[in-house]
Amino acid sequence: MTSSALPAVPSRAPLVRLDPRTKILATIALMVLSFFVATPVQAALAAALVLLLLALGRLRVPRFARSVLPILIPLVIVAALNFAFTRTGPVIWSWWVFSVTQGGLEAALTYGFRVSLIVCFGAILLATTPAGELAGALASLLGPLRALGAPVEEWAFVLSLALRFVPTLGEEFQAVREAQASRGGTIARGRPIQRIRSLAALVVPILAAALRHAERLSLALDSRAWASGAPRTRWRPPRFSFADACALAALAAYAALLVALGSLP
Amino acid sequence: MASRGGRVPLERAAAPRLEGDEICRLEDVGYSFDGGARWALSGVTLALSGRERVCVMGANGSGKSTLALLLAGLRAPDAGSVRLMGRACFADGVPEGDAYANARRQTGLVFQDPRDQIVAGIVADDVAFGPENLALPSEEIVLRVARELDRVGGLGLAWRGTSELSGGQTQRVAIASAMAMEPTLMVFDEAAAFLDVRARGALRRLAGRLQDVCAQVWVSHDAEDAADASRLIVLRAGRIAYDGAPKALLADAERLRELGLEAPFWLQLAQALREGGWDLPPVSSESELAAAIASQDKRDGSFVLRTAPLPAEMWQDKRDGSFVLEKPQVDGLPQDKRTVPTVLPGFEARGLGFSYAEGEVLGGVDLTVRSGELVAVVGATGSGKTTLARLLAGLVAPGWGTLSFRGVDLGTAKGRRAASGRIGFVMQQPERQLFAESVAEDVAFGPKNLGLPDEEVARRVHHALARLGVSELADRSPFALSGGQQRLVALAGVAALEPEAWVLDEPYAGLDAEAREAVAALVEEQRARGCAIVIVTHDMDQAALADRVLALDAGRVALAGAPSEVFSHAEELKGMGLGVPKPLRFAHELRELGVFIGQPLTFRALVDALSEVGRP
Repeated sequence: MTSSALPAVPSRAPLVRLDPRTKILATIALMVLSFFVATPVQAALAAALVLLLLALGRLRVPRFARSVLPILIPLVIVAALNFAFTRTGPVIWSWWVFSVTQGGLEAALTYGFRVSLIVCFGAILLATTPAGELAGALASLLGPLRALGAPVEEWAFVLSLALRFVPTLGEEFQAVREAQASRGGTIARGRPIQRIRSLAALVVPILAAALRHAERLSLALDSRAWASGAPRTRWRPPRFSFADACALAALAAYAALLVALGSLP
Repeated sequence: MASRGGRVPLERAAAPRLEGDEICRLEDVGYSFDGGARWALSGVTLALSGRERVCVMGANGSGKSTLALLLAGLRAPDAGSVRLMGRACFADGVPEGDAYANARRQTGLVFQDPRDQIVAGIVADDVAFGPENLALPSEEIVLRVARELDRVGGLGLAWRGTSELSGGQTQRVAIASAMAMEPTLMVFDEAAAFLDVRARGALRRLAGRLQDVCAQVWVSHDAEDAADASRLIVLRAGRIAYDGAPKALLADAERLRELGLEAPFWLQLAQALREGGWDLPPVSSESELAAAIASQDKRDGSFVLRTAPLPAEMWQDKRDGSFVLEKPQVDGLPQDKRTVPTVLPGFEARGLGFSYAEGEVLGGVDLTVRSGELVAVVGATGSGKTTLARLLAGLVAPGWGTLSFRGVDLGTAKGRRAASGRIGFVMQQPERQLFAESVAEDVAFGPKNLGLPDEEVARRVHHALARLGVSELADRSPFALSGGQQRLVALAGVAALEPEAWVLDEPYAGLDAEAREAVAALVEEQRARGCAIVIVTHDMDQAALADRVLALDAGRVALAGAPSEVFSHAEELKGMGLGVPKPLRFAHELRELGVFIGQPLTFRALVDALSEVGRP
């Protein structure tokens, strides 16, 4: 038993290897920079960056697209409303009370593209950073607040547990929804009273499941000597490496290029 | 050392030496969930020493899980006194926080559902979590993570995501995480209840390896788990009804029945044989019984065992209709010999498949289940059996292939809606679907959704509750029932739909003998009524009772046919992580000893085969 050694951490995508603190700060910067994207050239640059990040994160494009589409589609619909309400510039196309102006079209495209960029950067961060690392990095970044007495570690730990239990509760939800649907209980059809009962049949078991998981989790935390505010060590603290420095330099170059392109005539 | 919140110092070296190796002592302990109205435990007195391997047994609701939590220092009692890890934790109604914290630090706990105790996203981080809380230096943590993952055979899992593990793997990680705290005592609360045969076997072997490392308490309701323990404690209605050597109790079928426990297989068999005139010495394990049977002809001239192997074609016993090996039909499934009450079709699947974003989980499944037929679907974790159940129940659209129920095409949304309410679906742990304020209201949910008139709803609720034997619970809250009762109520909620077919996913998992019989009676009655029934199970003894068995391996049909046909491929089943029914396993054991009795699949068939073979 003394000779056992942990296998080496498997080779991970360059983006996954970065210090999560670097990734969080860079993501925030990229999200802010997205608001500077106004011209087609800038848009092409930003799109190229998204593709580069997907490659560096070894993320498969179809799967990534499936994960962001549910968030993007409603946002794009909101963007399309710009067609109807922004009326500046020459009219391109009109029908009944609707008319599309050039200004409206530009506003819709710009707004839609910026929001898509922001969603993509956020999704890339989440897809390349395990929940535990993300929470640890947030605690580290919020470290200065500790001086003010804020329980930063607890916040981060609770966040990581919440992220950890999202899939578990998701499975519970699906199982209960299907079980009730097989008993004819669905909130999609039927008389109002029936729908309300079906909603209760969905919500109560999920709440019960959440409580059950929470209770067992608190037992598990107790049995593993976790105590709020007690000193603990980190066995793999995040380390700022050369790769992180390179990433930040690349970020600065992107920012400079984006702003420079924007000031072109 | 002044530490916040009344915490004790963290150095392990400072842990008090234990007097006389005693780690737990409970005296006259009582525990109540409702302030003393009902007692989950009462008058419990016991002491554990440092190297014991204790099995705690009892029916559903006997208080065994509560006892486990008390021993692990995670609950304080309402009465009596508790001493854990050499320190007084509870006396005169007052809990001692520091002593409890000390006890918890030296106790590891593993639950039935391991997912609830995994806190990190990466396996190695989860194992490191406890040692981090002990504020150990990172070099020491690295050593412990490697050592404990190695111990459970999980070094290869170290950098995997915890959400992508199978049930058995998750359970092993949970054990490694608990062991990384270097506990003096490990408590396993029904840790094997939801595992498949392979994972269960791995867990039992692991228990053997922990023998010299720490004391162990295993809560279980499977008598076969108790055989390896050094001590057996049986709870009945919150009181200790037996505390002693497992061997003595496991050889006494009558006493076991009194205690509400199911006798282990070998004991039931020995008793049946003795009643049939066999003169057998007392036995306390399956292999002892096999040896006793094999030695019969030497001890008594009147008993001569057939010792030559049967010719290959006679290997299939012809005396019992269920043993007949049938010729496969065109669809790959043999024609069943049983008389089917009606000729109505049930489920028809051809080339059925399904995939998630992660890849194919099921492919090329051909299956016909006629009315009045029972088909068992078996397979290891991740073989696609739950997906098949959801498809058959019309809950998800098939990815490809065709699927119909009584002529209704389940491949279309319209067809699935038309079949809704006609196919009763019982998910894994269906007690999770309970929601209403009373049992009767919960059971009424389905019939009301069908838009039935009030008196019909009332009639169906009444019948369904009576059928499951839980009529007296009608006005209780479903959340105040024991796990076994909740399962029966959830099943009543499906029975009230009076469906034409049933799809049940692991309906027997985690139930005690009594509740299991109630579920089996419902299934048998529904089959007799002409329902087409599909049961997903990892219990091969249940599968042996089906008309046909479908074995899935990695999403494909690996074996299909009558139970006698499928279970004749013991080696292939083993390769898929599946076992064979206990009677057949026993016949295989006898074969090793030179006694050939064919391939009995059921208890009755085994007894019959033995009594025939044992005659001169």
